[in-house]
Amino acid sequence: MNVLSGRWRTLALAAGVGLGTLLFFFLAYFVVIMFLPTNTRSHDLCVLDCYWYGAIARDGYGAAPDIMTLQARFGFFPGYPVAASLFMDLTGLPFDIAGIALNAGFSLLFCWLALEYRNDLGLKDEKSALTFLAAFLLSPWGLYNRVPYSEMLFNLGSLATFIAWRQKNYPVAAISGSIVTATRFSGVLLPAALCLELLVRDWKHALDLLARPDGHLRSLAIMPLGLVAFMLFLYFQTGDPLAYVHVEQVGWNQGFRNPLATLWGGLWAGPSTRYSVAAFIVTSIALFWGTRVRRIPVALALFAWLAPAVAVTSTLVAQPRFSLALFPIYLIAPAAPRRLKPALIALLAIGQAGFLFFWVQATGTLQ
Amino acid sequence: MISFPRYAESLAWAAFYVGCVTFAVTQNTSPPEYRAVFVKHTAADWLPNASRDYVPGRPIPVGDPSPFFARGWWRPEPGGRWGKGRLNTIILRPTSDLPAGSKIVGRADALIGGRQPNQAIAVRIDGKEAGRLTFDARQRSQDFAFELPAAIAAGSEVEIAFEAAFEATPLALGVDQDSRELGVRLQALMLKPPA
Repeated sequence: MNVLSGRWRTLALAAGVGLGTLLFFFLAYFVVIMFLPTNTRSHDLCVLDCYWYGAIARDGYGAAPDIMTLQARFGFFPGYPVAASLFMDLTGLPFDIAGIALNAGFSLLFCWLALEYRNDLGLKDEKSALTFLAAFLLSPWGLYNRVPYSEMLFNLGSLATFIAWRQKNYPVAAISGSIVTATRFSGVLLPAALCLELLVRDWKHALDLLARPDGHLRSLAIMPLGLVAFMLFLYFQTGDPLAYVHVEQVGWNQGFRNPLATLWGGLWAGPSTRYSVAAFIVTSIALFWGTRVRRIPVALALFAWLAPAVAVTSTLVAQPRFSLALFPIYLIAPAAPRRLKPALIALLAIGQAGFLFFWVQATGTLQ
Repeated sequence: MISFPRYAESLAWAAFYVGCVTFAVTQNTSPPEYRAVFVKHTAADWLPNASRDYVPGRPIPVGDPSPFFARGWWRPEPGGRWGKGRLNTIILRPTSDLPAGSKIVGRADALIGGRQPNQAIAVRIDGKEAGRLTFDARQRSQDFAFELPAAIAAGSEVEIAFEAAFEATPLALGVDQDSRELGVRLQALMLKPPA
């Protein structure tokens, strides 16, 4: 009976925080579009990458590259657009709405997982879990988890993989890990981080695993299959298994560059790059500190640092998104002094409303 | 029944991923025009089946996609086209002769700023230097007209190369948020027969 009521309580709390933060987002959205000057009024939440996801969800990967930009659909991983496409088929909704509804559903599931398995995340009680969820979903960069982008699925998949791995539920870890690696390229960093944690924590056991593999190793080995499947698809579609790398290089100016020169130059080049450098540095410090005080599990901290760090080896574009839209950094929110927590959450929420203001004007300046 | 040692599974996974990487790196059956643009970077624009025939005296379109831009160019922009890295080549086939005295004329600028106060660009036609451009803070942009080092027969393929002494990203120089490796920018270009 107690277990049952505990389950219901968790569900109710998850629904509360999930729907509450969702409600805030849409309230802020309606306020923003009401108060925008008439001449700049826009209400489109589907900007930038959303166009690409929408195009893939509607028509697949068949289109030729854009003649002016050389950008092509192959630059985007299929996890999110495939999920959106299935949801569109199921409901008959257009992509813009289906994508938002899907992310809302994913965010509720995320809340339930984080509350139900809070101990695996180092969250000691319900209050800590709720603080974490509020900070994550109300942060300015939480916007990426609301609009039709792949962030929410990526976050949900990463959380599910980590929890399943900790719970020794290896089949679920393997399946959700595969979804993560099929959703974004940086998804492969999750099994890499789990593997590294295993090696550092108990290298003798890790070596033993190689000699006598079990679910641990098998699930780690299966996780990258999402990426492998996408590469195989690209091979049959374009003849080039690395099409996503090549299209990113040519169409989006990605490619290996000295990250130190990029960060140093970014400090002086302008406000946008300074903001990107600050996002990366703040994230790095917060993740390191969170690990030191045992607020963030090492594997999650490593994963949440490697994802933006890999991006810094190319460009600073969208660095705040890569750094601050991933959930592990918000695991430090419950460590804030008790009296400051409401102020912190309120500040983040105001930031989200402000970010939304720029977003609906389709500027993308705060990416 | 054959029984494998338990570590065989680890070896099998390792072999599988080595195979995946080898496959990804070595197997590319994409069409030649795709490979030219996205893999080998020997063409700058996606214009399948476009001809490299060029009518002497006509401007080479630097602000639009064009089949002439070969290795080492960024996307066309309204202000011209930036070279990617140090070596930037244009390949074309004149439809009529370019006799001795013909010229390559145009306008170019270069990335100047931060710890890169100047830039030098060599202009080569089929490997022979036609002229050299120098840029600094006082002269960021300039017109040029160089005589072709040799006559060019109609229908023969010509390579025009712009070779920058330095390359840098405006971001690394701290002068702009652009993270592209830039050298020279072409604002106009033409091969001109003698009047």
